[in-house]
Amino acid sequence: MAKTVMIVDDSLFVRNVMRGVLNSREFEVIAEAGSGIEAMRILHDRKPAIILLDIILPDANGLDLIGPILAIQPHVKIVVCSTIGQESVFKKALDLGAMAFIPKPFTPEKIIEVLDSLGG
Amino acid sequence: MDMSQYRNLFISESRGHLASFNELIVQLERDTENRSLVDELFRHAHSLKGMAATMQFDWIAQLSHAMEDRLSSLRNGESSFSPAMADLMLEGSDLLCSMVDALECGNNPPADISDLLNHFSDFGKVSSPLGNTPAAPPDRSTPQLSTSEYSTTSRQPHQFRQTDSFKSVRVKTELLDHLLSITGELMTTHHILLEKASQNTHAAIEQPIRQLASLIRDLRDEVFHARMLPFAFIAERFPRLVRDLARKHGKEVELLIEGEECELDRGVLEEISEPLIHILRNAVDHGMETPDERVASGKPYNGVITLAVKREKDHVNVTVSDDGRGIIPAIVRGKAVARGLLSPEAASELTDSEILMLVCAPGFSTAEVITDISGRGVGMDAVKTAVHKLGGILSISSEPGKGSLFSIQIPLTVSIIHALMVRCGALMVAFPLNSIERTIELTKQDIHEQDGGKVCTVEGKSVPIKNLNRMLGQPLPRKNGHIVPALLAKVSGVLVALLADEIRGQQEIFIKPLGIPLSGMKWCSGGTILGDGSIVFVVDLSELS
Repeated sequence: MAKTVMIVDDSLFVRNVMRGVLNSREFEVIAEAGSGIEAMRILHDRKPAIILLDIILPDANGLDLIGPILAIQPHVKIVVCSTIGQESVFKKALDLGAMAFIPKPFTPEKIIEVLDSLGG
Repeated sequence: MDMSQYRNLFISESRGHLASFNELIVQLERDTENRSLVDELFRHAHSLKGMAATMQFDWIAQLSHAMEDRLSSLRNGESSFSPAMADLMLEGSDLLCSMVDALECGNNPPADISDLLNHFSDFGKVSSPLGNTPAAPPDRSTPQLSTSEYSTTSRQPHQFRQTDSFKSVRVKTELLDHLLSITGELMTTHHILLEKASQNTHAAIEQPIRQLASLIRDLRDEVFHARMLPFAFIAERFPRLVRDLARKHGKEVELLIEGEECELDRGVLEEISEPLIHILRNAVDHGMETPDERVASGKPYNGVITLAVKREKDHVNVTVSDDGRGIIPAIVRGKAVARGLLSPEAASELTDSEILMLVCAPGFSTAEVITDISGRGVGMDAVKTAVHKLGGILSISSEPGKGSLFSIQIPLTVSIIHALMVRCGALMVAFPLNSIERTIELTKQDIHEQDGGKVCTVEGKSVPIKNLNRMLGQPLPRKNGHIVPALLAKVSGVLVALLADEIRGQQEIFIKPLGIPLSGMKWCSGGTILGDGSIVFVVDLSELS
């Protein structure tokens, strides 16, 4: 069965590219959100297996969302997306409960590589 | 993976980032200590870089990376914001715009952007010792780009909120135009149906026709609604325009925009944009004094231009006011007489506000006049024509030494207007309601001879009389002595009474453009079809003589 994914990013371009990449593999994008508020609202109804979470959102810092997301859905795997060179951000995200990190600007290959590394 | 499918999305999203970027730079110039503006600028450059890198548009990625670096050092306090830095940033964003335009046209990227990239990387080293010097720093002149073949103007399409992606669809504007045109045809067909039904007495069809009318009204309202765009859509480039012009002329001008959330039909917005640019340009070029002149006459160093948009009942008021030197009516009056636009006697009878409108008369503005009367004539006849085409009204007021106010009253939509239906001989014509002051009835006693022409007296003032039938090439009414209906309207700023055969009343009409050869009639801005199938021509008073 396809693994379900939710994409949280304020750029429609980024969301579409990610969706294109994921849908071409054994992933199914079941939800997209363009802001932190929208993401939290959606998570009350939908239960994705994986969340791709951008750090810079118009209404929130992605890092601040990790805790609240895990509070609603403790088993979801959060993958944080951020710019290369922000090791401190990555480390902080891991401390908060994220599972992996996709450096931006991303390539389609990198997204697949990271998601595959998450395992079942 | 084939990335080309994301190209259009990349283009539209990039334009959104660049439009915001331009706007923020201009804001930052006014508010140099505002950290959140820098953060936001950084975010736009950063997002653009990321997107470009994903699409492998390396030249866009490189340039936005260089801009991001500059912003980053600004963020960390390593450098400070200066006018020269604003110039460089805007130059960078202009080049990015033209790169995106080039992508859309399928052109190749610019050959070499290394000059500009070097300038970005060298910039901090040159400017930081200068710190916050308010006067023009010596490195103000930014290098000329070697990529002049790229247009620096960019079109900025309407940006939907990205979070609405599942709730909204993008449609081509032609589709909206088409929908409006079908709605107009429906309205006309409904009128015809109504006319036919009135000849029969089938009570059974009355109810469905009434329902049809109500549905058509709903449809019309929704179609109008779908065509609405906020005024901000055209206004977002104005601060940049005013800034660039002011800098070119060594002036300090701040543009305040009020009511940019006000929504208008996109057709109206499209038509009003150029006239507004004309007015803003005049305000900066000629209306505004240099900072020295301002201080000498006891005014604040910075000039202020306010562009305000306000929705009234069925129209929108757009005003451009400045606190510059104003226009002196006596000078305009003198020039108008000197140019032979009107006789000294006629000129002396006009009120000051009527005199100011003369700057819109064709032939008023010439280079010579411009220097003399602070150039309010530049393109003003074009502005007035454009406003009239929209069924709008332009008015000017000014207080010498204090500033000027240009006010444009425009309808919310272009193609459906309230009109006054008037019969002249065999011809039925319609006047946009807002072009008519009011209607009056004249008897033979009311009409006098004066200076070889006919006049009547309205509220103690003598008003010249013109015969619409004659103007429209129709036979003159035979029966004299009866009460003659007339329209009071301003033609080229002068109030006249237009005699007609019959005033039929007011109606909402859908104007359609006329085809060749009828489009050759200058006084006619379009036509419409009435319920009985007859054709009505819409009169453009500014073209009627």
